[in-house]
Amino acid sequence: MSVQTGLGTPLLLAIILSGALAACTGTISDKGSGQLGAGSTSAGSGSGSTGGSGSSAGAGSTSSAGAPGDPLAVACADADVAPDSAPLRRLSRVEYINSVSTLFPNLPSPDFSGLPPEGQVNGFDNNVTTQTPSPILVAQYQKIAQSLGQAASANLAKVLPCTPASPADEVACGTQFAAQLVRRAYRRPPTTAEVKTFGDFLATARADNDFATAIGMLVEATLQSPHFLYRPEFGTATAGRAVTLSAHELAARLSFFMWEAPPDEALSAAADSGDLGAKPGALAIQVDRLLADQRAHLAVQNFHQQWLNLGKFDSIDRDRTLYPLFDPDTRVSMKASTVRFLEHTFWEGDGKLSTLLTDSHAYVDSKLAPIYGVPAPEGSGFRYAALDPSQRSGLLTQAGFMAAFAHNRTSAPVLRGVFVMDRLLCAPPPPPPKAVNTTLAETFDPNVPKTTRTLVEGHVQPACAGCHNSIDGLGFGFENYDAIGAFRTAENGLPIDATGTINGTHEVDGDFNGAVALSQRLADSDTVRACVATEWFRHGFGRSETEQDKCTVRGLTAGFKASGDDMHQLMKSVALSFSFSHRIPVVPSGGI
Amino acid sequence: MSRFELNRRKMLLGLGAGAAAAGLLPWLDVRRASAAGAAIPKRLLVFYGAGSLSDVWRPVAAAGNPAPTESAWALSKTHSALADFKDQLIYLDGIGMVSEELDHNPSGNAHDQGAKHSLAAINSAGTNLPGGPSIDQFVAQQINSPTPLTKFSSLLASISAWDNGCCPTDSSASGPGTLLPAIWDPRRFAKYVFGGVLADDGGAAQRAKNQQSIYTLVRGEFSSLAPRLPSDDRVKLDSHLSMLSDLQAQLGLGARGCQPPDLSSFDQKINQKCDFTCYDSQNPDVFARNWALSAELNARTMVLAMACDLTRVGHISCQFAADGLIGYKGGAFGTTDSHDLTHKVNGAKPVLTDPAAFEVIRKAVETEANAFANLLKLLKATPESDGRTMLDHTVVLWCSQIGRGDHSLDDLPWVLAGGGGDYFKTGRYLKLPKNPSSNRGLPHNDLFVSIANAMGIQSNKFGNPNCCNGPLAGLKA
Repeated sequence: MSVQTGLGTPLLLAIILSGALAACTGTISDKGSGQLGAGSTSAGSGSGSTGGSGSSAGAGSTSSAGAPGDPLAVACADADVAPDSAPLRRLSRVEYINSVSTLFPNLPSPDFSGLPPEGQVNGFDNNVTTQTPSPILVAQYQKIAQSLGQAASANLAKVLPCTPASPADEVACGTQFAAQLVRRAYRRPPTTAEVKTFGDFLATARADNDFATAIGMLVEATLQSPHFLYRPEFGTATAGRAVTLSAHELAARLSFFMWEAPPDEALSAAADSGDLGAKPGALAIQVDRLLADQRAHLAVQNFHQQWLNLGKFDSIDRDRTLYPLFDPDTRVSMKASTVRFLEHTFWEGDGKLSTLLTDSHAYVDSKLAPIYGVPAPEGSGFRYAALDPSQRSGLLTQAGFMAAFAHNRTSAPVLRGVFVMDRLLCAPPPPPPKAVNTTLAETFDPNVPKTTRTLVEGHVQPACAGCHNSIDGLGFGFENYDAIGAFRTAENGLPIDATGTINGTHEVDGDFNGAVALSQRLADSDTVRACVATEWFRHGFGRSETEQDKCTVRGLTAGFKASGDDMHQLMKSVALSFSFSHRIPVVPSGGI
Repeated sequence: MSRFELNRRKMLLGLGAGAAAAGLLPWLDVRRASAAGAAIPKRLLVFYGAGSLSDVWRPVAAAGNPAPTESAWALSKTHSALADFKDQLIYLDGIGMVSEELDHNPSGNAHDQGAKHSLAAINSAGTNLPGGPSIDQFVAQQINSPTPLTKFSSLLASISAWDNGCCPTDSSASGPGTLLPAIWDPRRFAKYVFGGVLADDGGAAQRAKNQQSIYTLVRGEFSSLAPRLPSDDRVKLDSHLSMLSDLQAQLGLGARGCQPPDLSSFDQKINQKCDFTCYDSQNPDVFARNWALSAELNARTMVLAMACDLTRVGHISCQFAADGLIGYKGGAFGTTDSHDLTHKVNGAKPVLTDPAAFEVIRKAVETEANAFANLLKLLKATPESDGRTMLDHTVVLWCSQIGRGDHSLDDLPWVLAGGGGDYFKTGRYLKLPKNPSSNRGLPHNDLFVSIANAMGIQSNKFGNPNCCNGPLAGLKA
């Protein structure tokens, strides 16, 4: 049974809809409220301390969409750093698969394919607002539990910690197994009542069935328990406006954040000892250990896939007449290349965001070499190739990204601009009003050649200019890249104009020429740092940030900057933040 | 054996044989057929399309008439596949998505806005999510409460040409913000529906007892945890437990009078290299084959599930027509894709007036109409104990999230089919009056009230009560 990365394919619908974003005057955002730089309502002021992770720090906010204030400019008192709501989280699809696989490593993997895909918020598939149960999901949980129950029955030696020598030994052995299973499935020691409940269940099941069937029933029940499928957190001692999570609750948060998998024995032992979260440095030791583990690679990769919308690569398609270099294998290479670049930068390179945005290397294979204009490697694999630094600068200028945000025949400055605003500035522009005509005013008449830029500029209506100044100001900077990401200086015989303007970053606003300059500008931006910190917050907490969280995010941003944009440090800072180890007090609903 | 039993048996055998195919094995035991005198269940089936072109959707004048009237009208050329069912259709001309206009938290994108209002018709729950149950789920919940009637309270399938990660649906919701997933892969859908229908090997009673023990334990875990949680969180657990309880209750509600089809035969049908696995818009044959397979097989499974009374509520959604399916070539007519082309050929002020361009999109509408006609054909081929057909007793709604290519959410091109057991007066083209308060179409909330009433649910409101005037006038027989 193998651990999953859970990387999904995109909705074709989403691709189609994104193509409609060609004009805007609307005021609506489908993003969570209170995003940094995305239109929070109170203006920031003052200068705050810039403590490290989890320390007091303020988050800037702004009064108008697309024009965020300085994300580091608002003070936060210690008391302001507190977690907001902590809604009940369900295991995400990946977390569920990894949990099941971890519980029964010696059993054949059940069929997970019937699990419905998760909904997405802000690009992430672990957002708690989408984790409502559905009949299909509940039925699949049952089906998988039944499948594993049967497999356990048929493979007792592979699951039991003991071998009953006689029927008289079965009760003791079964009880031992039940205690171990519940301990691992619930990610905490079972209560006395639970031990009794499962013991009684096993005894009753055994009375009616053979031992193997009874063990299978135990497995089946455990895998459908809410303590396994959900992650209830109650906390322990009060800490200001919050309560401290129990050591086992914290351990589960930590491992699902860093591994998308349940705690291993070492982390569970740290929780059992009571050290985790209580003993100074104990949490940091575990954070370092988990990050150094290979399982973190899959989790980080999954984060990158969702943050950067890499699923969009899966449906890149191009007019073969205009782009003979492209075929269906090209998009596979594009995605593999970008995924490899992200892995290299995060794990093998310096791990810095600035490198991600400015490194002019790329992983090149026989499909991508002609697009980049470099020699292809020998054989079928990739080579880490130095590209022309005057043409390429980091992730955004890679062929895959430029192709993912392009149309069948042309580049797509609007899609590219929206992507930067959404995922790097956390300031997604509102979609166009529903009644707006998003059709380009002119079609591609071969007798009157025009550049894509000219066509886009021509279609923007005055009422839409507010948004498009920001969107297109960024998107035009990528006009040196055609629809498969090849560098170009002319289009339809006309020279490329890749000048643009950055609006709304507070600190790196202004004119630029070309994506290399733009990428460098973004790499220097506190707004981008705040956005990346925000994205990690969203992923780590499984929810959108709120006004209450701004000081937490502010602290993450400040620590990120102080670390020299170290993405490892940012990930650790999330785990070490005050909010990560606390929650708001639980008000029980009561009753039966 | 009565004549009806023979007819029904013949039909079910035919479904299997016709699926040749689909490879569904004959349905051998039609016990329900012999339940003479039993009430014939009503079903609701939502066919959720990708939108339409009003010009090719609207009925035309009958021969010899200057314009279509309520009773004298003809199908448009694009809808000609519906000819066999004309007497069982109601074309609703003048339905508007009024609820979306009142929504204080609208989506900026008309597709999202239309999707979340299309079947829920209520203020949204933020983030492009519907603010309440969709009409299909509302009906499913009502008729399956307090005791489940069928193994599945509802079934959701989608039609797609490629595994594009579809699901959840964008329209069918069990409550505020809770969109439900659909299954597009025909093999998986059939397995989901019929996979639990097992022959009894003699151990069924003990298995049922064991299952009850497991359920009792799990229910106890839910029940003890729920009160300890805040009320918002508790809703999730209560909902989960409710679904689990339904599963338990449905254990005894298997396929009535049916044997499971041979699912391996789906694999024989779906056996080409690119079936549902390749994304290659340059290969229209692959797209056409996949889309047609998905449409055909999922419709068969849905109708068989209803014929076996495994569910009484279905939702089939069409993913957007693939470019290759309709012969669209990238860049054609200066457009980027078929969605772009739709914008340009249709709307208040079409940019593209080239008839060839229009024809491409018209074909997409026609393809969907053909799939809808095939669904009706299957329903009509299923006899009921009163000598009529399942279509006569079913309410079918062909709807979508959007009006025209310019994203209008007014003048929705929607069609009702089936009489709902003589509840609706079919065979008509209803040109509805404008909503006097807004000069828009009449609120689709009222249509949903009518559908709920047709399904035996007494209510004067659905969705946003401010959009409700009661059942839509003039629909009833």
